[in-house]
Amino acid sequence: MAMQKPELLPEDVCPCLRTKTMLLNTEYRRSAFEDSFTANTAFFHCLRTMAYHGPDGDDVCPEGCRPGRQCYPTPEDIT
Amino acid sequence: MAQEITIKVGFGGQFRELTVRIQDDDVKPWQPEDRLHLIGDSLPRVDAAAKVTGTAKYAYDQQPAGMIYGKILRSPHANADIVSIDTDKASRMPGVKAVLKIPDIFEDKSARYAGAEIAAVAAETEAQAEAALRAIEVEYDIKPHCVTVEDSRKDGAPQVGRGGQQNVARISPRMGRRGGGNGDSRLARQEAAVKEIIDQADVAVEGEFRTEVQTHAPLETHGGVCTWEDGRLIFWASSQATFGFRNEMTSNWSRVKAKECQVLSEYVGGGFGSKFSAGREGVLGALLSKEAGVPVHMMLNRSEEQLSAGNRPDSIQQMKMGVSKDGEILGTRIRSWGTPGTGTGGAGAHNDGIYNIGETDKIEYGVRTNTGGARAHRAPGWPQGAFALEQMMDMAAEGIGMDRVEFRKKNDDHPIRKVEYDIAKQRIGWDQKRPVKGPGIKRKGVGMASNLWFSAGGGGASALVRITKDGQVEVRNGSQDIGTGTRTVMGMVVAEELGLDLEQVTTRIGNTDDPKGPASGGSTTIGTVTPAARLAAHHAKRQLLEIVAERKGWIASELDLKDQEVYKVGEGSLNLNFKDACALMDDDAIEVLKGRPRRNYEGFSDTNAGVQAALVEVDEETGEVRVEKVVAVADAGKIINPMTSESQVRGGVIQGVSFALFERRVMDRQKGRMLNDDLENYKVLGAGDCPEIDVVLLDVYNGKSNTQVMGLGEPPIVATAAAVANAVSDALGVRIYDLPITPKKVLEAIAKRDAARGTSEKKGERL
Repeated sequence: MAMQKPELLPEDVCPCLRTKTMLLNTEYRRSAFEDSFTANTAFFHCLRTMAYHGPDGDDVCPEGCRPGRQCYPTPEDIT
Repeated sequence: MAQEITIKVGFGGQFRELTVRIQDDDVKPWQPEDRLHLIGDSLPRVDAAAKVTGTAKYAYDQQPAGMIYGKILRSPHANADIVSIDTDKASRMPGVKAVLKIPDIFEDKSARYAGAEIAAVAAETEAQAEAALRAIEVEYDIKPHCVTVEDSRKDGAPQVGRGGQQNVARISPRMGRRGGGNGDSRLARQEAAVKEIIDQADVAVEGEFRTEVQTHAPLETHGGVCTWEDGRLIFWASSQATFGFRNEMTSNWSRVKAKECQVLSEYVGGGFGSKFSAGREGVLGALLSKEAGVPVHMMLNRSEEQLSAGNRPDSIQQMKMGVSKDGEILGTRIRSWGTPGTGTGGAGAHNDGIYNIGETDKIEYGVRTNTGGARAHRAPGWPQGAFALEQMMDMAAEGIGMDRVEFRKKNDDHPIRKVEYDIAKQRIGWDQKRPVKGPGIKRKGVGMASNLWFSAGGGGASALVRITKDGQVEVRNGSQDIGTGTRTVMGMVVAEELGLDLEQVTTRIGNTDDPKGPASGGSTTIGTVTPAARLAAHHAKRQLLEIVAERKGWIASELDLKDQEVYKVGEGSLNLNFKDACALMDDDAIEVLKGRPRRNYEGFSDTNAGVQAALVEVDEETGEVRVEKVVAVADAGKIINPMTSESQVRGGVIQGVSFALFERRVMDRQKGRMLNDDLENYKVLGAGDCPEIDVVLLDVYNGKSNTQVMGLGEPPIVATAAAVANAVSDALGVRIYDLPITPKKVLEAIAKRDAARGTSEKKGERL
């Protein structure tokens, strides 16, 4: 089963990652993962923990929530 | 497909022509010579009466049949791991219908701050739910904690996080994906280059500035009321992101995984940036309701709100600035630290925006503490950044003997702000002499600071306009109104396009069954939804006029609607009123759904500006600071409704004065708990503390969309605390570097000032 990504979430970032700018208009959403714009004042949370740390206890952030991380979901996690 | 049109852009009677490309079916932005019958009028909110009479139903007010109450057990410890949770006794308590353990739901056995969620209960009454919480037995593995930036940064400080997490992490420039490198040598070169610039500048000033954690403190707390009907989750949520909330309930990766969900946020009692996510309370509410099989009311109480529902991070900002004698800023060095709670991201400060500050060497650090997590807070990072930057601007101006306003103008290119400085200066009485009252007791001073914002809205939203055969008009969009006046302004835009009065248009918002809208963040809502609403209204109008033309034998392209009548362009009324025109429909209604037209990238300015000036009186005997007046000059593109716009500016100023003088989270360093988790001991500005607020709105034709609206919700809070701080310094002749400016800090500063008098005081140097 293919994992459907939320709109505009970068391809290899965990689908559980959420941040405010993903919810705004399309122009804003594009900036959600740019260093220069909101990086230093943006908050990221995980859908599974609803917290700023993931199920593995480590930080939720675009740089860290990538394939290879222990809690990165597999298609089986959907069911 | 796109069309090329020529429009006028500018403000204050100064306009220039600009050729822009807009979407093929879009309408031309309103032009300065257009005679608009509603846009630009101060009209009361359409929901004002409902709000003040109590008929407006907020999430908190919902009471579906059979509703029970959810409550959350929270950790009393600032840093602990959960060893076990025994809920057997609680489950058997009277009235208890459902019990959940946090580790089972959220895969999280840690409690990293006092107030972290441990378990949740739903029972028939609030008292029964609270009794059940008390019956839950929890075994904790308690760890040492630190709850302040200073403590957390110390060598050997207790570890806040888990695994290999350090307490302090660089958050900007961002670290590389694997945590290292990412141009560290480039940063070192920049540091050396900026140091050299500052060292060689005519004047260098520096300071360390501190701001405190500010909680959002919305009147309506987080949470909602939810129920399941045939597998469909219905959630009356206090949310500033109805569609984001729905996604968190339905996503394949969420804990709830609802197949369908409707989120209703018709009225929202404030959010200020903290209500984008459903939060753990939202998920727990949905799951408790599912398990109990009845509706659940899950709203945080005030203590929980203060502890766990977000805040603005604090900051420690070290800045050094090199300036030439003629007033040009040559280079700036910035180091900052702030705590967003148990993580590190998000605690930066925008202290390098607004002005041209020369070559910049800036590094920001996030500091983990065992405290409740920060969230976006009205202009995230900006008020704390402006507090430091604007004081540096005053210090630098004083250092070279230049007028503080002229120094700002010298380092500011913004075409609108250059005008706004003079308006603020004149209206605050900048150049007036302010005699000392009494025997040297009460001194007055003025200060100035600037805003910046950057949103003209964007795509991803749609509006549905419906005109019925009996002349009813309705506009629908599922986004919410968190107090900005979206409901009113959307109605005005549609009424303007259809030549109707506002009362003739019904606006439906805050329902995810309606067309998609944005979260209310980044000051983007009205700039995003009104162009869609205008476009849908325009095309609904054209459809109606096609019907009229066909039935009357007229030419549709020659017709328009004005003053509730059909008229022939260039000639006048055709003696057919709107209602009779609608009656010519064969079908029962016209419905037009339109997406927000693609944003016009060209325009007068990509950013809006704003300047604020504060007049304060400081009592040198008591240390009390009284903000007498704030002049807030604001622009936000085309001002649709000056009354709701002014309301936004006033709200920002009030929250800014509150940030300047009163608000701070007080943590008990030994116990690790927040001491003022209520609105009695967490001080917020009251009516008696509120200054006179003189709002000046500039109407700017920026050409960025068909309604030309720019963001206004956030920018007015950016400058206020900074302007107040500069005014206090102007009054006292000594600077206060820490917020809030309490009587104690004022008296200490006066004592230092008086002790230093007679010595060679250097301007701009911290005493």
